[in-house]
Amino acid sequence: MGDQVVHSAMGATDGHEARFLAAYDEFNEALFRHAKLRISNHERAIDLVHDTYTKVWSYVRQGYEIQTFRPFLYKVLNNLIIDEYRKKKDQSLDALLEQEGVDEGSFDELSESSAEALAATIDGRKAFELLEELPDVYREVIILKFVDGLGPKEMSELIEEKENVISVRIHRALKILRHKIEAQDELADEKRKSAARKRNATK
Amino acid sequence: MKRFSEQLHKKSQTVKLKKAEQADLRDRIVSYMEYHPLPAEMKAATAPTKSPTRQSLPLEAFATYKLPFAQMFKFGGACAAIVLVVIPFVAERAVPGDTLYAVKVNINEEVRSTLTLDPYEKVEWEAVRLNRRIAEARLLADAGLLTPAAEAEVAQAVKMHTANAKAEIELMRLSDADDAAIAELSLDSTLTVQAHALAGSVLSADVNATTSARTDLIAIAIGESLEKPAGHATATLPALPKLVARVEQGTTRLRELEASLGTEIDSITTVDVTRRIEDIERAAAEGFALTQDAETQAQEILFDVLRRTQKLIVFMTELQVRESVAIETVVPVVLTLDERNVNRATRITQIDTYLNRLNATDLEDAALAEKLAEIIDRLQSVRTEINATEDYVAFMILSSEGLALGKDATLLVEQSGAPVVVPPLVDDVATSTDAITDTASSSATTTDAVADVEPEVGAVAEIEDTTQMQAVVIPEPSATTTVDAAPATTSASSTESQ
Repeated sequence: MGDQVVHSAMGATDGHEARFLAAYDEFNEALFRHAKLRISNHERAIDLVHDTYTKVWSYVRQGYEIQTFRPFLYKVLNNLIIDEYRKKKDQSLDALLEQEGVDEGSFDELSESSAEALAATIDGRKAFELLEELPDVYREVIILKFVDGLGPKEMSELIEEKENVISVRIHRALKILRHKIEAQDELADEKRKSAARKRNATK
Repeated sequence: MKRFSEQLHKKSQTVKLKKAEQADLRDRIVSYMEYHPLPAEMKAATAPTKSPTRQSLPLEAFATYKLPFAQMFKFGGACAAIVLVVIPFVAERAVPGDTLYAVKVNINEEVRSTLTLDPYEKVEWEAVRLNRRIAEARLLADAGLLTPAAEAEVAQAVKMHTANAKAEIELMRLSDADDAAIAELSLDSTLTVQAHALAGSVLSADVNATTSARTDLIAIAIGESLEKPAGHATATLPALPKLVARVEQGTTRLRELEASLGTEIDSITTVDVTRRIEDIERAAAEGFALTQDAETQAQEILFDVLRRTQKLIVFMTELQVRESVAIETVVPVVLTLDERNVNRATRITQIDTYLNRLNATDLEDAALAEKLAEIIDRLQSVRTEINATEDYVAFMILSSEGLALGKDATLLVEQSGAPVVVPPLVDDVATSTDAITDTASSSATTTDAVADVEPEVGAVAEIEDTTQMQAVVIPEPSATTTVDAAPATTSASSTESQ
């Protein structure tokens, strides 16, 4: 019923509604994925995507013209996620930002090739499983870069930080991931060795 | 890194909505759009991104245009202010022939007329409109721009406003005869003053010959408006309470106008206006004092007070009237009792002086001597009648006759060449405006206004017949208005006719 009404309106105007629904069809999956990876809550992620689109629709109704929906949708969703964190997390996002925001990073951390070299040593599948364990400021940039495929400039505009800060965060996020993966591998190796010793002792 | 990126991205693709969840989310958003639709103007507007195909189709049956509603609303207030405030304000200064004159007459004044609900105020407003038309005609005449067409237009407007006012008065008469009588008095007073002013301006134009503009048509229109139709019932005097209320309103208005005029009028006019206001207030006080004992007399006095008040208000509010006519013509001075006594004594002394002169004269020519004897007898008779006369009006008539006789006799003696013993004459009384006015003691009495004569300079006494008077004005005995002497001038008086 709702579809019919909106579609008839679309037939009359063939304008804002059509563009908006096209944006929904194109980006809803990516937005949901981003939200789900950021907050690790399936139902809540759906709600955030819903809220994102309703807010954008309200904006359209006020007469604003949105030339490109993608960055605008990501911006609204990102703000909603920050709100979500502020509601739930004991440790505020501001505190997290404060911890690393003042550090401008070393030369290695600012180097793209250094990040590439670092990433080359990491198993992406394992890293994906460990995303939840990253602090949000790091998780955010990893998801934006490797899941959503945003460039440095887009990310900078979205989270309102300098590109250097973004690079530093990516570098540190990768480092953390590598350490975690290495720790995980070591632990698995230790377990495997321990199991082998038990088998030998039994024989 | 590419490997890492691909692995991570591939893994992330496993995070997705189920088909049911996706459909449900879309329904929720579509419902939201349904309950929060776009505003009508946005629906009417074309899509922000038009397809080139659509734009390139010149034969399209329908075309849509984007109206700048936001700008229209933004400037709507300014446009409304211009239309509703600025234009009417500017139009108020328009005269016939101006572009905005139609706005002034057909919109400003009609709106105000429509918003005036009280019938009495409606009549007053029509009188104000009438004054405005005449003032506009005078402005044009002064500028030499009063064309016959414009004059006819103003005359027509005068007739129309008068007719409107009279129609309103007749309607009022059905519901409230008192208010109708007061309104009629107000209208008549306005018309009378304007008639005087127009007569003055026409005379001035003739004398100066500075402009060919005449206001004859307008004067005729006013004259016709002043005429009472045959069978027009003489209005009964309004009820006392309403008269008292209107008189109080009028006197208050006079004082306000006096204060507001301030420096706009010269000092002489200020003195004259103040004197008239004092006269009116004195008469009003006298009328108020009689409300308990002699109601009818009080009504007559207050009705006359109201008439004079209205005339003075028109004189004070209309600049063109002030410039065209003397205040004495509009509202003559009313002497106080003290002033009358002084005037009476002066006139008697003058007549006695004439008698003494003439009795001491001895003419050789028998015919002239006989004629002189007749004049002396008549003068003596007048002198005797004066002594027996208490009424001031009758006294003024008799004394004027006596002074005229004395003057004629003096001329006769001078022409005969006989020596004349000339004892000095006593100066006559003159008011600040050199005028004396009184009214008759009954509504059916005809009175004469008497001019004071200065025999030494041989001025001619001017006696004007007045028409019927309707009210009695008795000066307050305790009033002590200062009386100025004017020994070297001839005073003339006129009694306001009604």
